[in-house]
Amino acid sequence: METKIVSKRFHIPESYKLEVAKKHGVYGSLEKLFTMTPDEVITAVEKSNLRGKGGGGASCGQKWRYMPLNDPRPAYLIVNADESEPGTFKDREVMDKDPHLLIEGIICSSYAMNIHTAYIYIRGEYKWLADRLNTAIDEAYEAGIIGETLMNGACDFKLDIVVHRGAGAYICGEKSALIESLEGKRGHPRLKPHQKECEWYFGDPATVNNVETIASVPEIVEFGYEAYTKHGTPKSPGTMLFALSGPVKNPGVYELAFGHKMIDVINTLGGGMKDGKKLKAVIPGGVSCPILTADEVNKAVLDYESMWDIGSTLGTGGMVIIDEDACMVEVAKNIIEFYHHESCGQCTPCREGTGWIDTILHKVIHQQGKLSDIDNISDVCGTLNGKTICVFAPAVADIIGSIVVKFRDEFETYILNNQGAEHE
Amino acid sequence: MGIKTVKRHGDTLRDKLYIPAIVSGMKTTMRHFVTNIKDNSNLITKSYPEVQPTDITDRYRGVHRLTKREDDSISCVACYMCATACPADCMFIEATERTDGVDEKMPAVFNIDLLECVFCGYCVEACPCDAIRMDTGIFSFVADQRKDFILSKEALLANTRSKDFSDD
Amino acid sequence: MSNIVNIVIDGKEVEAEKGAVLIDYLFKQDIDIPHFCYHPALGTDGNCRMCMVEIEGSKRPQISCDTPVKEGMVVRTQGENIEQVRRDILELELINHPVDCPTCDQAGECKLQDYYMAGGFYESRLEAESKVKAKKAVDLGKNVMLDQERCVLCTRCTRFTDEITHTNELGIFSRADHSVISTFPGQELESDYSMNIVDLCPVGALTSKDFRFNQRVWFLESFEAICSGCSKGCSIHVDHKKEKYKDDQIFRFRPREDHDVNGYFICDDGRLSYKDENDNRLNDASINQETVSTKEALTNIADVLTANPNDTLLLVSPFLSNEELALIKEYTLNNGTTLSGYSPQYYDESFADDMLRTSDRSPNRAGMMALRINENEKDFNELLSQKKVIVVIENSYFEDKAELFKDKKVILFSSKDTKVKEFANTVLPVASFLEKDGSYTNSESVTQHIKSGIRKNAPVGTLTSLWKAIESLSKEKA
Repeated sequence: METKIVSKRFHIPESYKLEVAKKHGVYGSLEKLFTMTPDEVITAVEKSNLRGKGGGGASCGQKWRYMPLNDPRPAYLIVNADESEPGTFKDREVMDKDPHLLIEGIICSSYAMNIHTAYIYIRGEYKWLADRLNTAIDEAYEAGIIGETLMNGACDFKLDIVVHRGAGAYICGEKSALIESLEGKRGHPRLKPHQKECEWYFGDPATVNNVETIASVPEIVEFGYEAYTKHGTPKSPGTMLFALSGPVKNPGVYELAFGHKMIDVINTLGGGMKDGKKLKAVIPGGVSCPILTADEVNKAVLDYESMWDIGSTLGTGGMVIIDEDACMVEVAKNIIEFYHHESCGQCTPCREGTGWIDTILHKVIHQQGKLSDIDNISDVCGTLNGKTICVFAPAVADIIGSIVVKFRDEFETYILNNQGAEHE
Repeated sequence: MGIKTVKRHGDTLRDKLYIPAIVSGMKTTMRHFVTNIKDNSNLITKSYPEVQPTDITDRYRGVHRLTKREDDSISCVACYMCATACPADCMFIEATERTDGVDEKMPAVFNIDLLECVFCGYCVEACPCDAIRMDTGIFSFVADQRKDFILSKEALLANTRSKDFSDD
Repeated sequence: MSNIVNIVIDGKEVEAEKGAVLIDYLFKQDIDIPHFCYHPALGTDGNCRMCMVEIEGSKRPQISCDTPVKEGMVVRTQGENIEQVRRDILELELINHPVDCPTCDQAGECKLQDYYMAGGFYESRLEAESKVKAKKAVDLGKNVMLDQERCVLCTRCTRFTDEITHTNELGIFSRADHSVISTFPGQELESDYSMNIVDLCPVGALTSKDFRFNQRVWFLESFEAICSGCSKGCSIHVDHKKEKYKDDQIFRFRPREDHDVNGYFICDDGRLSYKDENDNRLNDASINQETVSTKEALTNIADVLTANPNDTLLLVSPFLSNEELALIKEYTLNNGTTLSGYSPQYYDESFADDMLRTSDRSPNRAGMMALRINENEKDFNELLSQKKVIVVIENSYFEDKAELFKDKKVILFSSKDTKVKEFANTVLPVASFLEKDGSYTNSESVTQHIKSGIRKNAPVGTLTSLWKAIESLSKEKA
């Protein structure tokens, strides 16, 4: 069932070491890369229809095209390794098990966009991964893979890679907030530009890509876009690292081509539900996506378009499984606590709205809930949706709003009984 | 528009004589006179100040007072809403920083000139803190100098709710 | 011009400049779009989300501060949908607001109050005890008080210290609804323009320590004037009030938007200079230290001036208006007295900066120069040694140089109680800078007019009226 492209070396012991990884083919794409022109690389990525794996699912090649050509200013590649979405833990597998694949991807991407400095903005809590990346980068410098030239002079192209640790803010996974943070400012998302353009780092052009996206590039360079588009569906070609968490028998990260049925993945790779419990719901792509009920899960197919069709999104592919024992009011409270804590506080609706929903749910859980609270939550979700600078607030509205709508009965019973409807 | 002509009153001989009207008036006066002489217990008029009124209701607007919080400190935060509402412009407030941690602001000066006050009660209505009330039941205030009619903050705080009124 | 495009606002077809910020255009049309974070001096930040409008063709309401004007745009600022959106966001602004309007100095000029009164009016859905608490009455230094609970996090103040003064003292701390504005640890506000954040703050989070609890703003009356603190002559609003049984008093200065002079701001020294107007006033006329009536003093001055015109030096100052200077200049031309405007004491190099403040701390030197009034030091000293009668008009040059008055007859016109009074033979009080009308020319040759709104119980005569009285008295004698 699995299709291993990014995860091909995950099973090899000590694959994070340069010598081990090299034996198993890392940096293999570079020889071909140096025969290609940068434009050919971008074209290949465009034709592969590689999509951003950080949750948005936008075309990576198109994004690269926004970088201005022949610009005298330095350009930057910023790798978004600020993986903080609850339920998402795929990028850390890449950085943990195959950091050299990420470096290889950075080399390919930088080459394509004529970038000489790449930053890896890594989540502050991933201290050990930052150390691992730094060790790998040091190895790469020592081996002459990066630095003044690439691959010991095989290509006259200067490339430096710098790892930057964030200070532990979820919002810094939003690309413009990430850049603000990288510039040394408070991580507040920027207003969206009025036309499509690249990002700006200290006024210089920059592009921000997710770890997994960058790690997928070497495959496309080495074997061509045709090899990549063989996998998956026509609109969502290739593979994605799906993370399974919650009460399944085998939680973990699995690389799959797009187009598998969600329930199959849970039952085969995930090994089915633990202790024979019934599946109640799944949050499909990290907690920022609308929740799916058990019925919807049976219909769900893991690719971008199919997920949109059933009113959710694929997000980062981090599936949070919820079984029949879970109380949805507490699930909602758990999630909103996270968002309340992580809202950057820039836009009014998000700053105050997340706190308000948290307060309401706190009241409900402490047996002071009223039935009108359910409508109040829906109301606040309405105000959160589409009225802020970034997509944080709409994500809150999506998940909390969908839980309240799809499990309204459970909320009502909970409030009326003054205690958990399905409490032990 | 049509005009309706109304017949003028007082044109009859009886009216012009005046005497019958005087007599009927005197009859009423004499009836009261006799009744009151016979039994003066029903007299409305009181021998004030020996006899004090007993019919002052809870809604009577007497001299103002400033209320206190539970900790016995002044409730007023010197927001000037009363002075803003006052149609007689008889409230003179100066605000100052409150340093006891209960609130931020309080009046340093709070004077009401009773000679200017029209006892309309707007100040009580306007107060957002229930800090000023007119429930003292005090209807009489006398002094021999104009300045003594100006009630200070201390005097207003010393006033209390009338004992004759029901508990709030 | 090709730059002009047609757009529709609330069903009305209008012309607008292409690419202009929509909210600016709406302001120009007198459409008061609720907003907290947008300020023309600070630009778009887009965090308050209050200035939303409906634009045909876009799925969601858009913030007008980040919407450029485009050809054919159809904008709706009214209507049930958009008003509901605004009400929802206002409700969120208010859920953690302490609603302590009674103790808040901003009450009466608070945007939260205004917008609530304009379109809020909902039943509160949140209990008071669950409001987020933060620090109240924090002294930020430089006369600014902070109340973190009242703050709506519009970041106007932080953007002011970042982008305008470049002093970066303020920042946002913590996240979500616990976010607060504060200075960085161990730092105080240090810029000479800090008090502008009090005006910028749309709510009562930042208030002036100087004005704190002094007056409720709805009692204040206002007139337009200029600041006399330096030759920039910043445009200001003078907020004053004549309370019952008291005299007219100035409570504060506020900057007045004027793109020819100061833009949106004024310096703190200028703002606090209102105290000079109220303090230390000269009230009584005197002859040889004995209090006399104005009439007597005027007669005395007229006598002295008619007796020795050729032996008289008039020293005016750049604090006088163009009209007053012209009047006195004409007088000297007609009767042979000599005129000087020598006033080096108003120069203070340490006061100047690269924003608004200039080194000349007087408001009308350019006007004096335009009237060709001699300021030359050598000429002045020469005249001073020759002339026997010195008439000092609102000029503080002799403040610490009274020895120069030896063997001279001195007439002093002053609004301030000065030491020079003791050495003057005749003293006459005049109206102060803001108690009179007049025009002043600043260092950039912009002439501004003041029409005073102050109504003192016992107004002191203006220099113009007194001087005209002296002239007619002199004529009677002649």
